[in-house]
Amino acid sequence: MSLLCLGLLLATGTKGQVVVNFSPVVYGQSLDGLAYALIMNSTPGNLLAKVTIRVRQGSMNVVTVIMAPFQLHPGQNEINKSAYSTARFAFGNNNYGLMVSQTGRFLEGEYEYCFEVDVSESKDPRLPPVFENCFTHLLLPRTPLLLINPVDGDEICNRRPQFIWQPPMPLPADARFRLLLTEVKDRQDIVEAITYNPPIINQANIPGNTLFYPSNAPELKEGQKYAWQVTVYVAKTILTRSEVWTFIHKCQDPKREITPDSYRELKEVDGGDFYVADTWLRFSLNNPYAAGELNYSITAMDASGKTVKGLPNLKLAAGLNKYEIDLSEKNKFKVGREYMLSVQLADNRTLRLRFIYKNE
Amino acid sequence: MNRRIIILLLFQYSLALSAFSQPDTGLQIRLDTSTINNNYYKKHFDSLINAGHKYRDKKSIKNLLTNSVKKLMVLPDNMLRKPITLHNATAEYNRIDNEASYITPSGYSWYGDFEVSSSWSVATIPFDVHFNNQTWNDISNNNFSNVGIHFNKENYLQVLKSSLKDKFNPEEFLTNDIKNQLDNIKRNAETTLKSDLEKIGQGFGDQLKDKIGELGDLKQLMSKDLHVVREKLLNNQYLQSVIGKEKLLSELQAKINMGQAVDENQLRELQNEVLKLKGVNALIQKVEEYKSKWDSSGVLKKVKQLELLNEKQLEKIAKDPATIIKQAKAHLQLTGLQRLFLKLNQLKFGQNTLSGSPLSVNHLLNKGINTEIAGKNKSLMVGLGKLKTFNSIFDQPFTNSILSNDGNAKMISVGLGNASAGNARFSIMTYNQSMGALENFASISGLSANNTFRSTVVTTISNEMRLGESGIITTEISRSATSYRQSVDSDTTLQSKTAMQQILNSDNLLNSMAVSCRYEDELEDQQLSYGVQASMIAPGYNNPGNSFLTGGSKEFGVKAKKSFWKRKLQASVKTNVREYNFGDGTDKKWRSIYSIIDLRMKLRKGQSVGIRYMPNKMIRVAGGEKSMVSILERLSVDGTLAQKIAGKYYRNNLTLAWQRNKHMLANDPVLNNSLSVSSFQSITLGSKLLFVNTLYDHSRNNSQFVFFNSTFLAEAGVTYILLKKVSLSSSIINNGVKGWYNQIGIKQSISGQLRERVNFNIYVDARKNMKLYQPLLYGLFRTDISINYLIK
Repeated sequence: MSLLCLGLLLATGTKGQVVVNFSPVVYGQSLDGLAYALIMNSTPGNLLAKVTIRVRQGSMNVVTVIMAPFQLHPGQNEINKSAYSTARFAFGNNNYGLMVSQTGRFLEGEYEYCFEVDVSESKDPRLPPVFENCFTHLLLPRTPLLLINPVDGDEICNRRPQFIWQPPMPLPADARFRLLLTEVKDRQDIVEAITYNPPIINQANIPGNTLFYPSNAPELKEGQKYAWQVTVYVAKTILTRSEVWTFIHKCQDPKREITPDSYRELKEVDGGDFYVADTWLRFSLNNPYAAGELNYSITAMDASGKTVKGLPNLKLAAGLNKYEIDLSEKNKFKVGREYMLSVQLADNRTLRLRFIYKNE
Repeated sequence: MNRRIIILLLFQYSLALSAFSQPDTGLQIRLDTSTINNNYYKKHFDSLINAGHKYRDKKSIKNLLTNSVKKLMVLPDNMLRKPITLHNATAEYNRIDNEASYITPSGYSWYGDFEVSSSWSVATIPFDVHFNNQTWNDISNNNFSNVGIHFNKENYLQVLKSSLKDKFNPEEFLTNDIKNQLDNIKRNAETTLKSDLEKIGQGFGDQLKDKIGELGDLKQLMSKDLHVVREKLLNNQYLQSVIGKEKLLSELQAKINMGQAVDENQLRELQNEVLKLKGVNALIQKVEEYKSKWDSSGVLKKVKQLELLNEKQLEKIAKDPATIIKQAKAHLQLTGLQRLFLKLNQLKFGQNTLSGSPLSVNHLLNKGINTEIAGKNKSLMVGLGKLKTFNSIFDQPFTNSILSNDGNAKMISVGLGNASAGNARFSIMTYNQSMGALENFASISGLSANNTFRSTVVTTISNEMRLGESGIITTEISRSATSYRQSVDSDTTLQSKTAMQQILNSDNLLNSMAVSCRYEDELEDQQLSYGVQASMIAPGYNNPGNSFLTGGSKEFGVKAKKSFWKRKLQASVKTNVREYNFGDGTDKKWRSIYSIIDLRMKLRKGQSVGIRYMPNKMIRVAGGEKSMVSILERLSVDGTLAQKIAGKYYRNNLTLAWQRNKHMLANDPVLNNSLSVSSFQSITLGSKLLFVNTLYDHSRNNSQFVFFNSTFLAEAGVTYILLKKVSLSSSIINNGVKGWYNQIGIKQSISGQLRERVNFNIYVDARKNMKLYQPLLYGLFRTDISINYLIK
């Protein structure tokens, strides 16, 4: 009997019944991360716990976090976030303490994270008053996640581009990436676009730093602006995000727009002014006769006096006619040169227009 | 609108206006009321500003503001009848169905997004209202809604501009002397030419006055064609008449020679006419001489350049918001509310983003209110909003973040100057961050409900200066300070200083600062643009308004772009070097070097070819030793070929890329070199477009990771129009990943319009596995549907 009692006493007195689990590789980078430690309560009942976290770098005290008591239920418990928010933070009087107090991030160094759980207020005589678990870790703060390709602000012709980024270093072995690609609407902020627009690509579990365009995702659309962002995470914890970069898918030169307000009327006798035709030659004439083919020619006004060949065939309707000729497409016109457009009507009258060709 | 809300809003603006003019605030800026022409409103604004110092009790403030509201809300009858007008509204529903869950690859998921966008006028002031709701069945917390109401300044200016049509002349606003230069050149030319022409005229007994008159405005001769001048003065009719007169003169001369009597007057007249012709020829010769002189001296070219520049300046003035606003005040009968909104650059309620500058606040998503009031060369931006770490529905699978951003933000920013001359801005932002939503406090004794964990204050001064025509230099300096709800200095029980106290203290100044400088310029005549940037973020600097600023980093970057051969060839280079020091000393750091070198040649008919080289590497420097951590090199060549084959247009967009990719994962290197080829070929047959899309990525280091293995995709299809309103694209696909799968499938997309109000887009991708080696991450079936309904 006495042996049985001794055995029970040893079992309850020597085994840790409150155990703290903490992953410094993932959560040891920041002050916020300390709140994600898990506390396992192996006792059958609730415990009122007062948790103190001490972080040291060598012999220097970096920060001590003293929380108000909160309930630990049987099983796995998270640190109460409200208790953590309202905890008292005592920062070490050294550079490490100063930096973490200002930025919330620990500097590079070898740290010891000690979690002390004081359950003395539970007044359970079977339990030791304090449980403590310590974790040491050589902390290398992670570099930012940098995007590489497609380049920010780029115009690309590939409908299925490959996405590439520079991963943060050092990277935990179980880290994974998530890539989001969305369209950006007119006048929309790029962060709003990546947050609220339907995702063309929402691909998780990427183990490396590249992603070939998913085969089942719709291709990029001509002229559309896109936003993309990469997030790196471990399990359900986001480690960091990249910036939001944008690019435009563009394969074709924009169709030159016609502004319908600058048609020059052809006349029999012109005033001697030169019309400056910027890429497009726009002219109009009134045809009092029947419809047919427009009989016209364009001649260079320099010494060569050559007639331009390969002009488009144009129809002539009865009444007012308006025409646009894209001078740049033909490659027959030289910038800065002067030309004469002549149109012959059915009654042998000739209408003319002088113009200088520009292409800006 | 609720009267109390109006009073609240106007209270905010009135205080802002009053603060600007209070002599004891330290801001030596007065609101300029001289531009308000209407005496009624001028008196009202002056009384409002001057009354600021008289605030003694709430009752007097309330009375003043209530009266102000009544005065401001004096609206014309038509506005009273329709104070709120809906101009247009669209509703859109998007849905993505995927036979592969984000969470469980063997599951099924769908994502839905419903949006309503509308434009309204409230008392003629245009507002955009946007609502969106997102749902996602893959997660439990799966319904997110947002509403945003934004004042649309662009629309407002457009309405004013159209009302001002024909009411003002942009030429009055030309501040440069281009017009004077032009007038002077032309006047000088006219004076000298006129003098010479008159001398010629005098030589011909002033017979040429009418012909000189026919030349018209001599200033315009600079841009006239000489042939026309010749035709004008020596037209067929005139020449024929002179020929006739010459003939007649010859007959008379013959008669005189034969001793016959002739009419002396007639003889004299004919002689004068013939002589006049010589005079006209002399005039034309003189004009020819001058034209040639103007041309060879470059005067003509200068005139053309100045005329073009003048045109551009006038266009710019006509579009300049400051000019439109000034003219609207002068020429239009505006209500008090309309005049108030002339001063606002932005006003946003609900879901919005706060942006100032990189070192103040940049693309910060929040729910709240922000506004910017602009006066004469000064502005005031005020914002406050609620922040969240996980804003997006797509972040809901995550529960933790190692740096929380839940909380709220407040910002006030004062600017001096304007966009054209340069401006300076001082901003102060405060952030109160928490660790998430409040939990049940039943188990916690003695704690308040306030969940603020960390408070950060960030102050930033930024200055933008114009250099020359296109140069801009932007400098920023910022400081941050952070405090915790309860924090003590180590080994004492003394409460630490608050963030505001720290900001006003010079302790730890250099360790909590960030500095950035950026210079960009363009030399248009040399087709060259370039820029330089440098920044330093101290290890103790923390700015929740821009989470991409990394403490302990330095960055230096250069970029340049030049065009040759009339912009047919473009070369550009961009390099960024970043260094990260996260340690207590300086012997351990990370260094990242990123470059892009581009060469692109534009060919005829929209064709082009380009080559790009992108080296990128990161090294670790520790104890004097360097080690390569990651290296990525990419060399790509792309080209667009367009040809007409048998009357049909053929186009091929081709890309070839070689890539070397190596980085450390934990302590193991991951190597993935690849070569990829992609080609999109299309041929137009009438209204149909046939296309073939081929993509092959050859990976030299196939691995267990599906994303790194060799991939092949071949797609052939046709795009066509049906019933003139519906556009369809149908294709068959074969794709595979080495060691994983080989599939065939079909893709179908349909987009069009039903009746006049409904637009739709449907995309379907369905596959079948021909060979399956390992479980897939992508599903075999995906549909994207989008329906857009025009409500009004």
